[in-house]
Amino acid sequence: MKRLRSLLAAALPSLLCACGDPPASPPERVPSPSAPVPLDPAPAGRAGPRFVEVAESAGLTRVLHGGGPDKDHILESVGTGCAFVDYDADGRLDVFLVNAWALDEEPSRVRAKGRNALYCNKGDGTFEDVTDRAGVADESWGCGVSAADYDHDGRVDLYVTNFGPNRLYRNRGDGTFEQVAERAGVADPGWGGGSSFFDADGDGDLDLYVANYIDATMDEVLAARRTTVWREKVKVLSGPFGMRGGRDRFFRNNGDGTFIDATDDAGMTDTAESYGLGVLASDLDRDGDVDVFVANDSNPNFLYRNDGGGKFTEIGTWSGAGVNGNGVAQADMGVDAADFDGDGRPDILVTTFAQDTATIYRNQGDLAFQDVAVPAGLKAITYNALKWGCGFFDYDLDADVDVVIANGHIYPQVDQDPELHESYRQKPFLLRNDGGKLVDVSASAGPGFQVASSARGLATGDYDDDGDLDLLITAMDSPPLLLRNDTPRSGRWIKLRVVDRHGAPAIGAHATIFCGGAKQSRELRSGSSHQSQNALEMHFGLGEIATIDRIEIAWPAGGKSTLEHVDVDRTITLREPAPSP
Amino acid sequence: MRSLTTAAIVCVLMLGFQAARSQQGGAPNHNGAAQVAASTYEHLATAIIEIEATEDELVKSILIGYHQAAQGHLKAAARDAQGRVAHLEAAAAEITNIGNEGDKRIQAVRQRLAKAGHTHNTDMETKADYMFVTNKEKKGLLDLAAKIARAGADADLGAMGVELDRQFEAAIAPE
Repeated sequence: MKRLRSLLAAALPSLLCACGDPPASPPERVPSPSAPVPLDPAPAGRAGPRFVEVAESAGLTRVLHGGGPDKDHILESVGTGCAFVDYDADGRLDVFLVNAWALDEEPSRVRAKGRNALYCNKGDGTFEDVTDRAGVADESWGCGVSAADYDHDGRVDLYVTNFGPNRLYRNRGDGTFEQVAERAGVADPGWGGGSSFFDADGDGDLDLYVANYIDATMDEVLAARRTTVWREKVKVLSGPFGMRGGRDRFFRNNGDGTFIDATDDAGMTDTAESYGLGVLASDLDRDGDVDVFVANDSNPNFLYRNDGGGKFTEIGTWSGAGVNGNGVAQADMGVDAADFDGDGRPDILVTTFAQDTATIYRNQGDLAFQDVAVPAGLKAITYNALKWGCGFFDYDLDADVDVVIANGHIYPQVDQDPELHESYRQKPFLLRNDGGKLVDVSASAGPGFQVASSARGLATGDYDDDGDLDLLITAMDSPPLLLRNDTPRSGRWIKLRVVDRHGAPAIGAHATIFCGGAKQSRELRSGSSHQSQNALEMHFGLGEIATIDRIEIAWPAGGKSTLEHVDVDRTITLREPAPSP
Repeated sequence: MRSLTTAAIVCVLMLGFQAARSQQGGAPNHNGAAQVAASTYEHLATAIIEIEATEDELVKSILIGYHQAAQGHLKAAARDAQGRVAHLEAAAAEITNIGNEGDKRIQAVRQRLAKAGHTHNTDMETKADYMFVTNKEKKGLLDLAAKIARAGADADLGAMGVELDRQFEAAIAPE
């Protein structure tokens, strides 16, 4: 035995050692389908937030299943995503909801296969269920959604991750979709989480990253028993730690409506089999190509630096964003990025499990990040909650990005023991940005923020086209929540719809606005939060600014466009200029 | 490795059982059977302890491999101006592997072991399982990795190598 030991010890070191701008041009301004909103009187001071939950009256009534009542398997814990998406290009944000299955407990069996839902915005604050007409119902156990025009036909398509083969819904442009995942080569059979379309190699078409969570079968789900003891009190489901992780996938767009699995070729091999959930495709170092951050549950996050030419290097751990400031791999779920501290660089927000803080990784430039959860005030606010969907958004139009986080426990059993001081249904957080310090204003944010649910997905968008951002939230075994932003108007705003040469949202475009000596920037992204899709529009709060000095758009294909002296409180559609002959 | 270990366990068990039987002399009675069982269990315990010690040395040798690789990249960075950045980043990656007690492949193995209930030490601060590198040591290594990855042209790579040696020796030293 000792000989064997010595042999192994001697052989391994040697084995291991062997491993080793085009000119700026004016954009085409396209008439916006939404009329400019009349200017309010001059803004008067900061208003208190007010959000009202209106899902039922708006017609969003589809119950979103999440397994059985006891949640014996981790598949029954992660919930489903949602999207604000203008699928019919009428200028109004529609709603897409991903649905899973309902299970019985004794005996454990499938009770109902939930159907996804697509709701068309009627323009009067209500929605019409068009799921069947559109052909997007499906009966898979759904997980997440991302949106983009992958085939350059000018229409926004939908990618839905499932527990089982994923779906790609190609938008036909007549209000219907065609499911083409198999034909397109993206019907990944794993347990999908977040996903994102982005141009990885600068060739002008959108590639696709898909995070996979855990390697499991439906037989295992139905046979699962609760064996983990949570905080020495109640028996709950097991995992993810100790389970075999799913391998993430990267699909390169062939430019003909199909994709090829280029995970290894791109340098994105997930050898750690980490528990991938959140995907953020963003040019985090502002070098002109898109990097990919993957929020992993219980494993170090990945940060794939884009080295150009469609090749990536994973630098997560030494970038500072792989583990938190204590060197710990957190149970990360949702993710978003924005310039939180006004230094011009996008910072990363991740949400985490209960008894742990959500984290903001401050971008120090050159892909170096620093955990600022404590100085930003996140730890004190978020430690107890179990946090999922998240987003940076300027709810009060005061020219900085605030934070919203959807919460909900994964163990229904925590309600059985009062000593735990936890609940399965939790209220969301609204955190106001006060100069880089987050202040919890949830309790005074109106009735919408007093609704407790076991929330999961979250998307931001201005569905009622009134100039402020509303919230769409999914909840376990419930209809979704639609939190309409009724905050008294105290600031100006502008919304930019930036479209590519094909007429579709220009994924990867950057907009920077300059006004009053300050600047703000936004990036148009496919997929983020927890398995969800924000509206493919860029929304800016402006404070008291009545005129924007300059708007600069950096287009994903290269080139810049500039607008000067732009009036506010309106939506502007900007089209990418054709290349110079 | 798995088949080798399994074979070793089976051999030890058979040898132990045979040894116990040979000491009985006559037909087995109840006491004799208990004696055989205890003796066999004793041999099994020896095997388990040896296997755990083997795992310790295996992981230590893995960490030594990362350390050697990191030092190799640091030296290469010092003499190869053109490949300096790539070597520094490679050194940083190797150092993070030390901090994480394994690269991504090893981490996947550790996850499987954890699922089977096979854990090692529990970090006081994080409650995480570790074999050699405590969380405090891990943080030091990750900070050093970040520093090395972004070392400027005037950085003293030799001093960084010395610091790496120091932190590595402290991490793998018996506690």
